[in-house]
Amino acid sequence: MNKGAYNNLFWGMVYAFLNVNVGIINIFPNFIGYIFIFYALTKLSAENEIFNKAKIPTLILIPIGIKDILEQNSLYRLFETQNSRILLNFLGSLEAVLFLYVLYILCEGISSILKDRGILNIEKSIKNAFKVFSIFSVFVILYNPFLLNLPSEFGLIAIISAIVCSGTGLYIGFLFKKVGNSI
Amino acid sequence: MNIKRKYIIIGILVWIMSWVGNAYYFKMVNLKEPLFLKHYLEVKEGMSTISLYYIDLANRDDKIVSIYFPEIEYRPVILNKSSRIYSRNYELKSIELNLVQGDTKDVLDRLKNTIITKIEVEYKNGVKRVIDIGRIYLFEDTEKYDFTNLNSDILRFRAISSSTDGRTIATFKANDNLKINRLNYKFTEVDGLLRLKINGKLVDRSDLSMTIAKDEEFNVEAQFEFSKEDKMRYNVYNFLVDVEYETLDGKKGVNSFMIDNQFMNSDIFNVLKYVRNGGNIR
Repeated sequence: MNKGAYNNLFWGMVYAFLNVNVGIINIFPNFIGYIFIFYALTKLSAENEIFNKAKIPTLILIPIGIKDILEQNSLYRLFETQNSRILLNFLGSLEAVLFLYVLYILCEGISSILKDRGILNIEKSIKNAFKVFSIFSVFVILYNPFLLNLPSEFGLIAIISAIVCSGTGLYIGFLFKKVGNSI
Repeated sequence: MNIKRKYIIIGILVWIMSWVGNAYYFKMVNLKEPLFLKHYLEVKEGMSTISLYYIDLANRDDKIVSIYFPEIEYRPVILNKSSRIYSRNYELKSIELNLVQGDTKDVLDRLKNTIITKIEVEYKNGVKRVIDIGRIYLFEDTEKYDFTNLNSDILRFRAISSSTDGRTIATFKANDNLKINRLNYKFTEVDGLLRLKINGKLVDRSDLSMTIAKDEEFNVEAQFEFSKEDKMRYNVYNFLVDVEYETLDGKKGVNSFMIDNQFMNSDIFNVLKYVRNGGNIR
């Protein structure tokens, strides 16, 4: 039942967190991940209404995620003015905020399904992983606007936090796949 | 995993305020065009290239197509451009100019004893901008000293070293008993900013009378000391400090050493506080 939805979520997380650049092109762009997640949400919302809450934020994420097709430095090269630089950075930050909310809804909804079915070990793992993810993600989100003006050395802290977020995000994706196999 | 609504609202408000504040601060530095630093340089014969430094938005495609010295109606050839220091949003770049291409003798004669204070930069979109560049002395004749017995053999240059804190130490050896009369340099702008020491002792450059015994080695140390708010700290310096001396029997002479400052960290981007539109420093 709905195994396909969890599989979509797994691929959604892979596309959202993995960046593999071939030349200037990222072959795992975020927007494809968001399409996968939106597709999963439409299937899962039949099971639990809470998933409906994440649909609009995911729809907003899809166009924002298109900018991820280009490797970041090449993307910056397209934007010559300071206004577009601010906009680009802000969109990245907005993307992180919306995605945190979408993942929160996903983890809440899936946890409640797992609880109903008594699959508590995966439910606990998802909750714990989301806790780690949310702590680092909130840090990145609040730190992000300051990167506009801070020297590049300060970016290292954000990069380390972003790597932890990506690792945890991929782990959550793997747990979603596991849920699909267990139900 | 229930998070109180109050905390979410506070978090979002902090996030929005941080964005507004940082975007406003970022916008205050209105870097529409590359910002050229001020250069205080002495270019001697034998040096065929100079590098001019400028700050640009990071990852912005370079827009400069040519540089022209309007005061002497001369266009040096751009050899290459390179990135020196990178900050998240800004880059310190340098542009290397070949001064004496072509018929060297003719060109050298034309450039000799000239001073560049402005450059005309042409951008890809055809816009030309005249920018104050500081002061660059080109191939100045060394006959500036009206000494009848100019003899640098008496004071031999031994070694030079410079450190990352902007200190240059030159070692000389006296081949005769002599008196150091003056430490001289072209750019009076740096008076009070360039601390000079002889053998570790602070000296007043224009009023010193120090005796050096024959065969004695001594150090002349030059170090820039800028206050944090002094925009002079963001200039590019490369010039000679002349050690003017006189032997006890009245023979005068001079020997020199070159000092230059180095950009070692992203502190250089603080110059953006002084940006004015059009690529000039206020």
